Amino acid sequence: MNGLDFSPLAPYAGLLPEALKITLEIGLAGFILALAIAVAVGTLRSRKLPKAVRFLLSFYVEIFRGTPLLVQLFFVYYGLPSAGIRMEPVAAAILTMGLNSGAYLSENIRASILAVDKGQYEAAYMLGYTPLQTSIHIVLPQAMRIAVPSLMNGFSSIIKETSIVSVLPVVELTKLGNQVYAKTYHPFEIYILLGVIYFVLAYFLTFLAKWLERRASKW
Amino acid sequence: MRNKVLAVVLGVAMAAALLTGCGSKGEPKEETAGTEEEADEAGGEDTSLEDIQGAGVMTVGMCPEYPPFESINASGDIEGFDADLANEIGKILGVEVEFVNTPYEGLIAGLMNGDFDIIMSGMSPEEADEADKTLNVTENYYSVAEVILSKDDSIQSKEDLEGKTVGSHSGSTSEYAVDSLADEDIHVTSAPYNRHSEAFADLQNGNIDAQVVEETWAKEKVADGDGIHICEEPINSINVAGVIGSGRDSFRDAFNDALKQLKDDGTYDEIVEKWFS
Repeated sequence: MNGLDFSPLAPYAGLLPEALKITLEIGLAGFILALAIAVAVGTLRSRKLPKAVRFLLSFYVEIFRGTPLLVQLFFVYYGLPSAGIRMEPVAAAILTMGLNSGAYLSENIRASILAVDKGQYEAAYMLGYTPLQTSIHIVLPQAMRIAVPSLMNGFSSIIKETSIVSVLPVVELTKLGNQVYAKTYHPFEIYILLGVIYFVLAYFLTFLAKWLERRASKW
Repeated sequence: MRNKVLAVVLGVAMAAALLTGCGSKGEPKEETAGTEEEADEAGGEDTSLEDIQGAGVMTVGMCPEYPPFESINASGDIEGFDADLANEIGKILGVEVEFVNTPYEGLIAGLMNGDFDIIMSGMSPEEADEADKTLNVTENYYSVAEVILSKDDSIQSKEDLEGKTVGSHSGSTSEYAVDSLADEDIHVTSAPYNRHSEAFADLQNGNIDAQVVEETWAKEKVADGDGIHICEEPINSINVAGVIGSGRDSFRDAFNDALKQLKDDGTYDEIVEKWFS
């Protein structure tokens, strides 16, 4: 290694915004989907359920927790078309990241719901709330507050995991890095730069998380 | 590893097809040539050329990480030998050419799913055959020598590789070249990487004794100051061809005719001159 030289990468700088946009698009949309799944699945799994539903939900969580994201991506994008299900690569990426991350986060939500004091349920029952109303108005707001740190953890994970999407025909940050690497052969410079970009994104998120936590604890 | 990934993907695809009752969901609009449909296709009429000319577009799958065959330029477009050749063939067929930027390990699966009409990505007929024997392969449109790179001056020919650790691009022609050494009673430890550039980095770092790579790649990447030499005697030569879905014979034939025309009128030589000299 004889000194870092970033100048050969300069001509490719113009490609960065588009790749960054796709990374953020997959990361954000994946996280929002994951959050929706997590709240639904987490809430359901914290209750007494018919056996079939409980089995189905734990099947989902275990499958997505128990298999590698890479395999899931390959299965969804390259495998499912033979079952007649075809998707754009970005859509496949968002769906897979959302399902994968949703499985993890649903456990965080479930734990947060279980952490809400039993007295809250009893009081809601006393006031005549239905179970659904109890969930939406009493339990979830408190549970989400408890869940904020781990949800933000999940968010920064998902941003970094988007790099795995480079195995699909999607030119996100890591794929762009690989392709510029193949062209310029400057691995250190490229991967240092990539690392810095991901770090800045994730670090920004921890700030956001701290701010959210402060806000949440005021409620 | 790429072949293993491919095997997994194909296995998964077949399992998925079985689970859904052989997936004849009646989607006639596209030839989503899943493995189970090939039998039907053999009996059906081959309209592949008409389909492409009717659509006015030939889509070409390639992994732009292999200069000079294909790589991206500063505006993000794909350029290279394969790209120029595809464009010229498109002109003869009277269609636009579109490149589908696909990772190498996704090329065969993408072709089978109908994501593009043809793979032109420095792929050899042997690689296509290994993935699926029923795939159509065009005439070879280039031939590349697999050469040995090393920092070690005592390595000058393939015989000198005995007992050494040799890097290559997993699942590509370079790995086949390394594997072929065993047939000649030369025993090496094979170190497969996802890309040539990763093997090259490891060679520079001194973690492997030698790397086997296409001569075209070697000439582009090995610079004077590297302390790395290219052995004169190549291990073997590997052909490069276009890969087309099963049963699409009329498209393959039209491709071959166009290729012959380009060779006859000198366009082919111009493209070779442009990228490989």
